[in-house]
Amino acid sequence: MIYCPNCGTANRDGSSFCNQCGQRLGGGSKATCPFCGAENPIENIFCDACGAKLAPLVTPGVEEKEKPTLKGLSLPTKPAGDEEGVPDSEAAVPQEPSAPEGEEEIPDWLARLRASLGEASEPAEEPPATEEFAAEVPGEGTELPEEELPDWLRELRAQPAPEEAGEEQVAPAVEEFAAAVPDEGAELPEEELPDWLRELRAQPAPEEEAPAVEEFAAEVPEQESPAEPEAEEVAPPVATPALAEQPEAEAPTAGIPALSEGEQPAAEVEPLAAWLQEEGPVILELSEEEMAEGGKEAPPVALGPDVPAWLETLASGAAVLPEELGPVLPTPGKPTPEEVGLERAAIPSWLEVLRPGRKREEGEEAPAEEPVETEGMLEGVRGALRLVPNIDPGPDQFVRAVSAAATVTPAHAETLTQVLARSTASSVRPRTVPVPRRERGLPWLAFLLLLAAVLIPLVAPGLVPGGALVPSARSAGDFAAQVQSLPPGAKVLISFDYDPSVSTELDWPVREVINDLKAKGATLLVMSTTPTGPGLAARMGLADTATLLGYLPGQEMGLQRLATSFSGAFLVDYQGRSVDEAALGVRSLGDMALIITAASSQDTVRWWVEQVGSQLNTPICAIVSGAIEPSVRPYYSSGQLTGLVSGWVGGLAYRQAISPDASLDAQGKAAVEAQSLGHLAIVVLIVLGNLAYWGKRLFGGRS
Amino acid sequence: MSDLSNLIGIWVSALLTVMVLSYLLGDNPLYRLAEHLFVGTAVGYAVLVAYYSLLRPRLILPLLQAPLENWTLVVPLLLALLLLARLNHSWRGAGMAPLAFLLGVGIALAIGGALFGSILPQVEGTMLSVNPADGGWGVAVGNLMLVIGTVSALAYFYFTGQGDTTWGRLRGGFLKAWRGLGKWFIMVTFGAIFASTVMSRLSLLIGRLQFLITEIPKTLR
Repeated sequence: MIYCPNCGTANRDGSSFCNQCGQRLGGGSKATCPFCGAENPIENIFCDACGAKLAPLVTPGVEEKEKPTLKGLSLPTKPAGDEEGVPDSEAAVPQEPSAPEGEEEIPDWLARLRASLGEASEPAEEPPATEEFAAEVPGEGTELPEEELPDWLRELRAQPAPEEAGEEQVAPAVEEFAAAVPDEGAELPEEELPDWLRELRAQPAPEEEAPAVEEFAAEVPEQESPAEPEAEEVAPPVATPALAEQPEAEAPTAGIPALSEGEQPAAEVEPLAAWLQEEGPVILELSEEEMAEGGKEAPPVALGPDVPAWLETLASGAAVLPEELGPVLPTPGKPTPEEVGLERAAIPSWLEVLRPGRKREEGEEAPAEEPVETEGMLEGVRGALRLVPNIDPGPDQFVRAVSAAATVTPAHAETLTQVLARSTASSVRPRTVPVPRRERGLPWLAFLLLLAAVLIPLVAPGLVPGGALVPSARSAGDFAAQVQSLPPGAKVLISFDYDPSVSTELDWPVREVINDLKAKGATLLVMSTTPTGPGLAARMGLADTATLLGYLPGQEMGLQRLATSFSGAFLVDYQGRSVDEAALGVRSLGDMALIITAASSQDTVRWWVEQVGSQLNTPICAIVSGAIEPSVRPYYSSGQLTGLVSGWVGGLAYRQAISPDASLDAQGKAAVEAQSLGHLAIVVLIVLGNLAYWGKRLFGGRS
Repeated sequence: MSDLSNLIGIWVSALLTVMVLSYLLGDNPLYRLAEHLFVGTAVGYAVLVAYYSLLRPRLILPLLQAPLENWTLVVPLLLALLLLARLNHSWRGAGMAPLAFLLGVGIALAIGGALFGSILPQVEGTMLSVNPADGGWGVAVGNLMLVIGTVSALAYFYFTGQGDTTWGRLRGGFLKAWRGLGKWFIMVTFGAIFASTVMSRLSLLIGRLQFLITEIPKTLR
């Protein structure tokens, strides 16, 4: 799915242009995340790197955002002329549905009503709201050819002008309806009238209505429609450019059900339906503006047969506002909502912030080009995000869309700032379970016990009976057998593949093996797959008794190369001297009698087995740290390693296998005793800990 | 001179050991200083070794001494320079080529090595005789445990649904039993790895304590 950078519409993959707005899609551009700077495909909604949302930055266009979003939100206690109720031109304009909706749902009677209103306002002369509309509407004296006129205009031309027909004459198109609608002077039975009409009848004569409407017209701020030059020339809102271009289709009829033909709403007046009561104020507002222009001289409106009675009455200029619509337009002599005790609806601050086109409060800064960050996290949000400079300069449309998003973001971000500040202040910090006082010293007690178990044998060796006993290990025995079977002068490659951090554990078994190899008269070649390995080898005094080949780079790849071609693998040795391969008599690893790797990582042992052992028949033995012994042992079990020595214990087992009668020196005995006693201490601690846990769980009542 | 450098080395080593062990009291500047010293010296040493054992003898000297004969070394030189381009955000894309080359070769070697060096030999290693006549009862039981442990541990990672058919439910129940058994084998394996790690780290502790106890008194004599 590709999202349009202009309008945000989701398009199918591979689309070149947006289905909604025609914007070119793709283009190889990338969107840079404004938060982390990572480049993302332009169709991404979220950033691949940090998860920040990218799509809203480009989705809403300016026009779409600036449209009033409070459609249907009415405040019944606010008079229509109140400035707070009409804070902005956009907010004051009735909610216009989009043209396609109007095309589908506009009833005929409303279209005819508009046509009549437009015709009635023509004598007022001035073009409607915008210049664009004025350019498209023909002038009064302009005569268009008949064939260029739309059908509805031809019908209007066929009708006599209201001035010509006189006030008493009714347009032919509505004769049938007029016949059905009772005359003004006719008296309907009282029981057939709705309540609001009965109240209307009880109210004063319609002559009093004109000044009230004029007052209302004077109260309406002029900036409601910037394109309108004068207040008295206010064009009916229905005559917007879009409406004028499509006279038959557009109308604010969202939610208005179409009346079927044959219905006679005027004859059988029923109480207003809920949907009509909601739409009533909107339509009434239009009629009032019209009335403000024409006053009582407004010509009779040509109404359709299915026009509600109250609309007909309002259109004729002889109506008094019904009770339900009273709060919308103030009526002289009628108390305002505040006077009758109604309170003005309080708009929450967060809703006020979100209202499009809201009036700025005093002291509030106008939207600036450069955002300002004043305090706290995301406070003064306009400057915090700085969307535009961080966007990768891709297509112009993308940058433009992001700029548009930046202008509408501050209000939302301000709200987000408030919410975040509130949540931060009241955030619940993770509760830490307090450790009981009697348990606080347990870790130190365990450590001291372990330290004592290790230190006592080192300081006073021989105190632990049997502590220096060495367990036998078959893998170490196999290692020893491999060394013992070497002929004098056999070439042995030893790779120091461990780092100094484990040298304490591995130095001793490695030294034991090397000493035995020297005793056997083997030719030692020493290398390393780690940069620190040659240094460890040199520290053992091998610089004089062995050939230090040095560091082999490439890890797994280096070993693969070494297995295939030993020649050229080492140009210089550890000390920078040239390696004389001819003098060494080694052309390949196959010439080696034994390969020994001393490793602290299981990967290194695996590389030797996989890259070298699988290609050669040369036996490979390993001296490894005890930490990786379980991971390496399967290679020994499968025969890929011919011998395995693991840590100190493995070294001791190897020593015992080489010379069963040899005894350890004092330092070696102390180390073995310390290790044995340390293991014993750990086992005791584990058992005691488990007993305490289960005892507390079974008898303590809590875990 | 050698004795003096040896003496200084011993004391510096002892001091750094104590600084590292001070982490038992919590994170502190002494531990941080020792940690940074270790990292810094290790990196510096590795750079020098790489230069003197690899870059200088294999790349720089051949290009300087006989550039026409060793012109092919320009290719790895360019690849290395492109790899450095990844340090710059704007040029990071240029470093993809050498990285792709390294990864491609490495993965190809790893796949081949894993197949013929680990997977097939290890599978072959589990095809063991459980006949006591071949090696005695101990060997037979050991081999049987090895086979059962391997199969059940593999079954633990078999996540396919059992299905609604009779055969599917039967297979699902069978796998469930194997999974439960495999879980125990895996737990025992993890326990063995943990114990080996503890033993290894205890050896390191003993080694450092033994160094402090034996070497420091020697320098004071």
